[in-house]
Amino acid sequence: MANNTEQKKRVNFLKGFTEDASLMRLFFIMVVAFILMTIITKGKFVTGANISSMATQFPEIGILAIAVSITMLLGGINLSVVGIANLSGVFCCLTIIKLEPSIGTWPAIFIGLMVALVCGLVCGFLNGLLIAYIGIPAMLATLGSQEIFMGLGIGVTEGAAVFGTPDAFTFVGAGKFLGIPGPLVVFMIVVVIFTILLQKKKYGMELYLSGTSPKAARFSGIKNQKVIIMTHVLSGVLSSVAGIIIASRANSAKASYGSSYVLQCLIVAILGGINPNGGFGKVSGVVMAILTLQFLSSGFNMLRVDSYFKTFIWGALLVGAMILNYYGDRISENRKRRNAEKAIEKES
Amino acid sequence: MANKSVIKLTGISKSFAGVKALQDIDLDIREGEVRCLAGGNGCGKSTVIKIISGFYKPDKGTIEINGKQYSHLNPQQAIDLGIQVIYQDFSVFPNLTVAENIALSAERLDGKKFVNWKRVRERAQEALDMINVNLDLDAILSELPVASKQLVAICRSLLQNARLLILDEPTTALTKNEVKSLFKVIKDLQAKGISILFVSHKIEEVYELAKELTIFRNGKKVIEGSLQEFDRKKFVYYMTGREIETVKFKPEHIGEQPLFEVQNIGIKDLFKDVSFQLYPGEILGITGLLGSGRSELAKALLNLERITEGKIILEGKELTATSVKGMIDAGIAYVPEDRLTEGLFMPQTISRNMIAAVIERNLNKLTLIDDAGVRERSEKWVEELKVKTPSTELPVQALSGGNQQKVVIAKWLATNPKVLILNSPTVGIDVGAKADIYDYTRMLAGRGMGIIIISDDIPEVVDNCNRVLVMKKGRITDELSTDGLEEDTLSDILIDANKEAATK
Amino acid sequence: MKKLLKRNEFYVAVTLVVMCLIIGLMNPVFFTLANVVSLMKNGIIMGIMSFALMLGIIAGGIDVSFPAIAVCAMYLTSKLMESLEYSGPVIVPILMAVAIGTVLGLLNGIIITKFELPAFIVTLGTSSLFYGLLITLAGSKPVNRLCPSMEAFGKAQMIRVTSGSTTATCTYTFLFLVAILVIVHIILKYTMLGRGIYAIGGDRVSAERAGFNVKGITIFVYTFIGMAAGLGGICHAMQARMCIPTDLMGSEMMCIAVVVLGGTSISGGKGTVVGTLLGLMLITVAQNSLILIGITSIWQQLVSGLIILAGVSLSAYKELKNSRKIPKILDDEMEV
Repeated sequence: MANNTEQKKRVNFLKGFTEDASLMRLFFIMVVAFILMTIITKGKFVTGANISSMATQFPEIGILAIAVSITMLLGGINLSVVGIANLSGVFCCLTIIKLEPSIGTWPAIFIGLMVALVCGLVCGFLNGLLIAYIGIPAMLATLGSQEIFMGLGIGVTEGAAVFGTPDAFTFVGAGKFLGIPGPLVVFMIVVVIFTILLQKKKYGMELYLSGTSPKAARFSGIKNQKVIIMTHVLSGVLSSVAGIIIASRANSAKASYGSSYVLQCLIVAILGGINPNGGFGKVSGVVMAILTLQFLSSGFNMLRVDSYFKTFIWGALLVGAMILNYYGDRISENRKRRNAEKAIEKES
Repeated sequence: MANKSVIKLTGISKSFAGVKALQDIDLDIREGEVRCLAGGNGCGKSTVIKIISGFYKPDKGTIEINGKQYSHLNPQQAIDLGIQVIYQDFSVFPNLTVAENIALSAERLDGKKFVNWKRVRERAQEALDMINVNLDLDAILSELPVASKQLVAICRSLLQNARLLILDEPTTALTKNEVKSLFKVIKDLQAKGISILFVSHKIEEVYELAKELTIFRNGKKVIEGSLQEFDRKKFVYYMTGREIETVKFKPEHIGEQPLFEVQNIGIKDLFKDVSFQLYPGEILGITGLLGSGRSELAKALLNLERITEGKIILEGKELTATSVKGMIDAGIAYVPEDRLTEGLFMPQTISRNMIAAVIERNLNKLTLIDDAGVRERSEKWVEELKVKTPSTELPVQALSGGNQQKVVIAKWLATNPKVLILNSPTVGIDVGAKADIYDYTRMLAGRGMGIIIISDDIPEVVDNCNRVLVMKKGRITDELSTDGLEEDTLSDILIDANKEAATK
Repeated sequence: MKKLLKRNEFYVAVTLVVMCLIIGLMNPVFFTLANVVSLMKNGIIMGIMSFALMLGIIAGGIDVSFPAIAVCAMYLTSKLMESLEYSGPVIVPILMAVAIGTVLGLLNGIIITKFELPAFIVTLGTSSLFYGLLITLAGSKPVNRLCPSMEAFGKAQMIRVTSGSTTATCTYTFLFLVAILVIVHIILKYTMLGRGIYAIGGDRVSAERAGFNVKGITIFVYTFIGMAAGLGGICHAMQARMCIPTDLMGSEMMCIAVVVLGGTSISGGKGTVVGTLLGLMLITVAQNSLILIGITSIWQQLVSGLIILAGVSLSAYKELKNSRKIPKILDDEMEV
């Protein structure tokens, strides 16, 4: 019996190790990217100015990537996050501009933020309805709704950027709290909330289970449609949070901003170990992936790399990350199976 | 034994990542012979099939076909040599027509680059004629019943000049009647000189069909010989390595008040006027052919399909919940028919699977998931149901079929049910695990739980239930006590059902 | 008749007719021959790419890199011809573009099959990879003057009609659309390869067991899409009589919509050329007629998005209903 518990401990340890193997790999890649960039920029990379500028840059994509990731955990995807972000930003700015003269700056900003969040919620809800109740595959539904959200934004703004919000509005995007850049604060809050939501709450468990097998979930009394709607609402709200940061940082909004963000979000999600078939992946992985991407991006900027070359790098990274995962999974899969088989053989 | 060998395996061994799946296997299949390959789960049956059909490369040993020695085959070679496998899922194309499914592979093997639709239809018809079966050539496969899909798969292999037909658990998804017609087809094929390797662990079928028997256990051939040499006891002994005796279920104590009752429930087009009562301590059997409405009835009891008429009553109170969750909370548990897709989240851990139906009962004061508690309770269930696993944090897919089914049962027992409904609980499970499951359900009944077993496995129903309801065409037609009930009597009642249908 | 009602093509056709009638009633210009010819011309590029894309979707994978491939093919070809001051026959640039497309498509196919990765995400990656590399290496300056033979081919009018005050023409590139349509139809209907594409889309594992060369067929499909994208790209440049490397990018959604509206199942295994042709007509009409019924350009993206989503919703909802249907069991309709 003592032998048995000993064995159990060992298997638990091994299992923990293999399950988090991809996180370990990710951590390693992140460190390598950091060191690499420090070396090739001859140390300019680790100056306070650059670190602080990085801290304001990555949160918006980081938040969008989490928005995409949770829908991927469900085995779906959300390609409309950028559309939602921009539309929310547009509505936010328009509301503030409209209300500021009559109710004052801060109340207008507050209502503007609320309008943005509601916009994200409604857009997400719409996506959820299309997927859960009409039965459109998530990819197609959100690719289509992206057209609509962007089309609506273009229609409302006649394709132009919205200017004229008060300077106070930049408190989120350009302000600092306790010396930490605003966007980073928001990002940290989002990460904490979603880590708890996914790992420790009932919703998270339902999300992982429903993403693994909607059929088995239904037979277990989990309401898949509710989980889908909830996930897309959360994804929509997160997108609008990113939209607020973007608009606040620029103190303006544009319906067609950041079209390359979708790709970057996907890269971050995949690199972060989110399984596109659903059911597996953690927020911590996404965080490490976004940091890696930001290190590379800043480094490239310092080297004055052309933005199209960055597009190329992102594409290559996405394909490369998947190929890497392919080999990584094969190795840890084999190891996992071998351990399990050995353990079971001994047990019986 | 004058017939010459179709295929002869000598000293075949194969291991995966250090685990020996096959050890020094000899297997000799002769022309026109029906050989049964039996063994529990994980005994190496499927590995042998994959070696013969060229999907695996053996580590050691030789394969001899037509006097030629091969160290291994590739899939195309195997097909060219006349080896055809009908897999459990038949490997047909759901989106294509019957004609295409049957004839396309043969046309492709003939090296045709283009499709001649006329010839495809002709050859398909020809194959159907060979086994005396009539099917609409233009029907789309996904719209056909399971048995027809299997026939299509058999026809397809015939057109590819099968000399050895391997049937992998071919009866799993078939009703008794369909099994009968399948056996007729197999005997016809045998008469045509085609050898059959029939892979199964169902004792009755083996006796009915095969002349020669080979039994594998833990990757080794334990015995081989003519079927006459085996009685059932010996068969089971060699399969499991232990002797299992069946004892008929006798309820210890049946409560006075009905625990669970349905009154005239029905779903439009599916079933109607279904009424029965279940008393605490009872094991009630519901049997019927596939498509009799038995699974639909089962699903309705958990709100997986909504009833359109009638009442469901638990402990004297009508259940009005409209959701699956509502039924689970009321105390109804349902172990579904297909554990792989309906019962389990295969890649997720055992403990996650176990709490899936009652996540909210595993939260701490802060409404966060109580990980330690979850692990503790999972370990308790693993021990209680004798699930063979070193850890509850392993993915369920690492377990064998029998242990997977135990996890499903544990998952439902964790909901603390008053009524446990088991649909086809032992399909595809080896004899040892089967016995464990039966013992456990009897114990639960002894504790006063109400249990319903839905199954078309007649011995299972007769041996393990005290009462059985027969379902035909969406209605309950008979109610029998299993006390003194012969298996044949019950199967006759089921088959009569089909005669009636035929005369209608 | 019953069979007809069951077919998705029937509903697409009805929708198309209804839509045409509504637009025609709102603005009679719609039914003029000139408008029809201009619609024909406007559908060419999208059509060439959609028919190829359909092969991918039937096989169960979505390629979103074809616009990038098309741009690579047309821009590299145009640039090279410009710098060589090429003055030979038009077939050389066309073949070159097709060759570039084929190579890039082949690359997609190899990555997807070798590493068993989802086509959608791989092609999303290769799309940026190809496009980013192209612009980095070749710049983004438009080629304003194509080589003489391409210029001439783009100018030549296969059809020219005048209705009232408007004159519409259609270029010879239309013939490429017809050719692709015929080739795809023959492949799908009459070749083992085509049936293999359906087989893979229906059940991949079964296809493997039945001895279909699944990897080979998959590689073929993505290579074919690349090839068609190359052809579509060069046709676009010739029709526009210049080559702007930002053109075509973002057109993948429209092409996917064409295929899906035409009844091709997004999960693979089902789809016909006729359906896609109807889908193509539907989208082409929707896209090009908004202006006729007075919708200004700033709202066009929204309206066309709504039309697409509505169409996709319809076919998805129908599929959902079908999948939920349980065969009748109760005695009055027991099978014999």
